[in-house]
Amino acid sequence: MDTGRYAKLFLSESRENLSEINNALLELERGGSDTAIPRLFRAVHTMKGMGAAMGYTSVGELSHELETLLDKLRNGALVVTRPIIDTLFSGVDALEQAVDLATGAAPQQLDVKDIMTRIRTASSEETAPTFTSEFAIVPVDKKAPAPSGSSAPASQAPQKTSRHIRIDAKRLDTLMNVVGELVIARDRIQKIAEQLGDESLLEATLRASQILANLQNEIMTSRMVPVWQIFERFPRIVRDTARSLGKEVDFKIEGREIELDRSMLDEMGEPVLHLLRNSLDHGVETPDDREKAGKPRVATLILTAERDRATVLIRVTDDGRGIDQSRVLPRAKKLGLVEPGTTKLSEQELVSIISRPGFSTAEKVTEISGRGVGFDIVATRVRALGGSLEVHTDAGLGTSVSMRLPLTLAISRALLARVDKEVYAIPLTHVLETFSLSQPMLLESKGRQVVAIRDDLFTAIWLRERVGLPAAATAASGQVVLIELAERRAALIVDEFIGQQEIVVKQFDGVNASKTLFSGATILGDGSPALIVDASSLL
Amino acid sequence: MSDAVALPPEQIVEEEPHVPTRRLLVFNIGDSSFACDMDSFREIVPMQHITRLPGAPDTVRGLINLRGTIVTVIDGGTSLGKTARGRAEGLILLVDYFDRWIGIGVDDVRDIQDVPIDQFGAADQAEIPLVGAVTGAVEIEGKRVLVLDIKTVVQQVIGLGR
Repeated sequence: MDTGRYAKLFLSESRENLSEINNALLELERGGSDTAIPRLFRAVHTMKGMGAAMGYTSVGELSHELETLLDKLRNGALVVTRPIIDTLFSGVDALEQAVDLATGAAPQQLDVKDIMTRIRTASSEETAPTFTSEFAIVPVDKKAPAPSGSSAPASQAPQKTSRHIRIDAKRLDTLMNVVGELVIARDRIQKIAEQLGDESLLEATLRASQILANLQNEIMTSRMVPVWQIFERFPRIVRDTARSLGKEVDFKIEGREIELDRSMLDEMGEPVLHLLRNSLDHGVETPDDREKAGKPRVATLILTAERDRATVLIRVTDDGRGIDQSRVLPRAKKLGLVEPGTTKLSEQELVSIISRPGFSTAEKVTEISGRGVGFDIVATRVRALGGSLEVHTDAGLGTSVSMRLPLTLAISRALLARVDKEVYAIPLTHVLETFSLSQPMLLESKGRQVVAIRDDLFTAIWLRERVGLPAAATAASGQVVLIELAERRAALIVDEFIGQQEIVVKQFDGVNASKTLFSGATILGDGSPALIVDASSLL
Repeated sequence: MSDAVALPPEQIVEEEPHVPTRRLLVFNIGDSSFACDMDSFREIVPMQHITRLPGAPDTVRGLINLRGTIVTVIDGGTSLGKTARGRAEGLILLVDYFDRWIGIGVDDVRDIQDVPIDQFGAADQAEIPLVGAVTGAVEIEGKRVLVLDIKTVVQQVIGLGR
């Protein structure tokens, strides 16, 4: 068998199985042995078969040993105890390592001798009477006795042929890129058709456009994956982290079925992990402290995914001590981030302060959340993905951090604006309104230039200045884009609007400030690249 | 391999030297020539419309659209401390860099040469402003050419990018 060819497939299937094993173990730990043990047994058995078929002896042998132990738990020869659960967790960790080693760039077999001995020892400690008859092996479904007359046993899922196929995600990316190119080509044809004014050509172009929109939609949908694909690994990490910190946490995941573009989801794993670790390290108190504060000893940590119109919200909520303003304020003053006289920070100010690189109120550097690099990583990543961050915190009651993300990274609508001879794209998600600029609208307030729109004043931002071009001859000409991000607004001034367009967002290699000024680039109808202005860097 | 050097010239022509060679791409920037290992490059494209990248240093020229992919182009002249002939003309050398491409704008490509490795001499790192990019020097057609590690050049200018 050509193992190299199948190694990738093995790896992805192993990941699913390992994640299933971890979650079943967590269930077992919570006392759900009736359902957890059969789940564990099935997943470990699958691993054993796959490992053996691939010739990965370490995976095969280790799975076999785990299976033996699980079998004894299943037939009642052993009862579930703390040491056994710990042994199982260690065994799974070793299994994971063995899989990684066997499928790595330089495949090798993990030395599993020690862990196998440990599992074998656990298996042979017969803690329960061994009289169990063979019949006891059959798991009894106590909760759902099959109603009389029902032909299908409750435990057996209907066998239907799977209509799914596995595709390398790169292929979908390529497909998405090709469609993006097609969108650009369509815009070009449309322009030409309009210039020619040929009715039948315009009609044909319109028809092609509709088909293209369908195609785009279908591909976009095929790239959507449920969030559980990355959430799956969190319960185990949360458990281990909480234990190492001596904290007790009930971790819940809500909205597992919410779907997000795959490329977006891939980027979200790390920020979510940062937030969870932050909550456990800084938010959640020790059981004793919680008791003193009149809270239940076990803290609640909730990871939620929620669809809100064209965005997805991913939120981490804890009922810990909240972000303590009295600890943030002195640090912020010391770093000159707020006026010396400030006594209270708004939530918005709090977010911008704690998301500054290196800002941390943690008294000691811990292994869990590092040295003040947590929140700024989250903020940077979310912004790069075109999303925004919201924090709500109540001292003593807990913190909730929400990341609001667009459904997809790939295609969005933008306003194309010209300054001097350069064209920039401004994502429509941040555009509230547009106006023509006239002299009376430009005012000065508190030493800053502002734009008066109806009864409100907005800080004036000249795009020219931001992109390093000399100021225009007449300051009061051009167009105003009212931009908004997380309740902050500003008036962005450009020379001229070129129009709205569907843009394909592409990443580029930026250097220095260009990385934060722009969230990506796109290709215009004439084939030239245009930069996408990052609204959050302007505000 | 000093034996080979000691042979009279006629015999070198008769017999293939046993010295392994490196295939170098030699390019010009202004009056200077540089060489890099040929297999560092993926493609050479003519100079085209470059979108300026505000906020980036002078060593970066901007972005091009390479068949639908956005590629950042380094200014070869500024990066290597030389004055390039012109910006409108020239070529863009495309380099493989961490799964993606980076372009380097140069004046033109002079040659592709197989150079025996024993002809590589030492060179002073300080000859160009990029630290660690010079790996040596060779003489090609009577002219001294600095040999560069192009990945280091890109890394010094772009950093890790993205």
